[in-house]
Amino acid sequence: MASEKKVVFLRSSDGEAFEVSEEVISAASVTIKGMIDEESPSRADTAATTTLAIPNVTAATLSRVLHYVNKHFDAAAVVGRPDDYIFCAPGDEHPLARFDDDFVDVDNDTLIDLVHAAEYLHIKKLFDLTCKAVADKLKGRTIDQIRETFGIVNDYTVEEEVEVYRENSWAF
Amino acid sequence: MEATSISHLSSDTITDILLRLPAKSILCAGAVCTAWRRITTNTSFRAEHARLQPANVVLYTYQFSPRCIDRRPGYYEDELALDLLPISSDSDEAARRRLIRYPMETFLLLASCNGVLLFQFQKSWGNFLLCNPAMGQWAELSPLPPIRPEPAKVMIDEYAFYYHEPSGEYRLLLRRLRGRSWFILSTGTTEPREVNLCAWLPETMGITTLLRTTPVALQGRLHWPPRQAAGAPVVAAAGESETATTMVVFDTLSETFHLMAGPPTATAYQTKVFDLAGQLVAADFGGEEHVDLWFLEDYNAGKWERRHRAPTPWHTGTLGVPEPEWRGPNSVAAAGDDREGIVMLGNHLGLLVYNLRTRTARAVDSVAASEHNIVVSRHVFRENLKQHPSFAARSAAELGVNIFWY
Repeated sequence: MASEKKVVFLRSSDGEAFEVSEEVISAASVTIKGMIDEESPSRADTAATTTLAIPNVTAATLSRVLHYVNKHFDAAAVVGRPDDYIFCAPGDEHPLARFDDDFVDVDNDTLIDLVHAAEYLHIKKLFDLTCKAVADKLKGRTIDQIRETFGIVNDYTVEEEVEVYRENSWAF
Repeated sequence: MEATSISHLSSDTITDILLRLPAKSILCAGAVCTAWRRITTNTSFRAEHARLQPANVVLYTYQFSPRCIDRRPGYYEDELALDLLPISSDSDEAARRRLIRYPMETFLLLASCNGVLLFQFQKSWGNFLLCNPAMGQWAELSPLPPIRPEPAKVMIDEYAFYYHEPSGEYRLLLRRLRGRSWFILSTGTTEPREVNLCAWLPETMGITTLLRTTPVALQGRLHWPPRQAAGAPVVAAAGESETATTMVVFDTLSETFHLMAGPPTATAYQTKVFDLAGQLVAADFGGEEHVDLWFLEDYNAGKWERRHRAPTPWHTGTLGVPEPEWRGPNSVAAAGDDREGIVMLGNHLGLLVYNLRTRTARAVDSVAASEHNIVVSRHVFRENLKQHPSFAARSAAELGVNIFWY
């Protein structure tokens, strides 16, 4: 009985259902943990599996999010602490660093969708990762490049723009 | 093409994204649209951004002018660049970046505090310039009025450069040799202020000037590295490695000195203190094989505990182990990402990044090689975009110095 791992189903905005370990998703998402806690009394002794509607997240994004969650929040992945210091090469310290880099190496729309999903689901680690990835896309770009990449309309008047440029001219 | 959905993100989420940008990109982002300008010029945004900035070790990179074989002063203009090396587990060559470059003869970097560098202006001794490189702004500290006929170069000793939270001023604590009086210079005032600390003699209490040590600021107090307590044996008896030490503390609110207990080590003079997530840590470079990290467990009780024994930074290098007197105050010992327990220890002969949580260490090879003309300073710098009324942009012409920004 106890050996059976509980699972929940998450239904995306476009109707697709995804299976995930209840323990893993509860550790990852504050929002879903709240939903499960709310459901628990009513399903205490029933064998029925819970299905939770995630109306703000599409199947494409949700499957990505769950891929991340399974990598990062599976308790089996916790590493013990060695007794003595081990010397290592750059990047070795975080075994998931490479995974994270690849995970956010996506087009802008997909990335912004992930920011949305991480925010809605309250997955702090994923929110930090995706916000940092958006910031990295802004970093080192010119003002015009930023507007173009993210489709932002320049709403400055000519006078205002001259003033803003004058203030920080050395930084541009 | 349909516009991407960044404009659909809430203002809070945009704020979260922009907070993760380095200082210079923040200034750029503010020019993108009016909404982003409102976010990035907000005072609390700037304060939060400053709080989140990663700590960097300042590296001196010497750039000798190739044209000039004649090295007599005035015949060449060798330059000094200040580069930043982030204290992080994945800091590598790519993460290193240049902050500022200037002719070597013009400035002497004395200290770094809260995003501001304190320079001694070499042309006129006793004149200080404060620089916030993230904003390209400068401020001056009014010098002490001269006493004739004392030789200009031995007039004053600088002991501490700190940020005074209640007033929002940057301050410099110094002592004039003639008359042995103490003064505080501050960005908020035009006149140096004399403070009554005459009873405290730096030589006997064991504090040294900013040329040798940077006291560590924590909760309005400045902490100098420990010294062997008076009466304690300098060389510990065999099998007995623990001796009493004391540290000098300057309370920046009450403007008084006092003593507190230091870590019980026999090699206090080779110890360097730093702040790790609000806790004082002393790195003891006295051992040949290990650096001991002492944590101040209980501030009020002065209770220190040795929590880590890490391999010395010089263990892996091929350039040799520095002499004992070069292993303490001149080494860098600083913490990076607070939550992760990342610490950087060493100097240009050997520089290691340690992860105290996973107990891993990694050598920063690119720095630990003298042929690169790089010297690891003991200064730590974090960018700070907070507006400060005393600071203003100045052109290189106004300063009379050939400054290059990056």
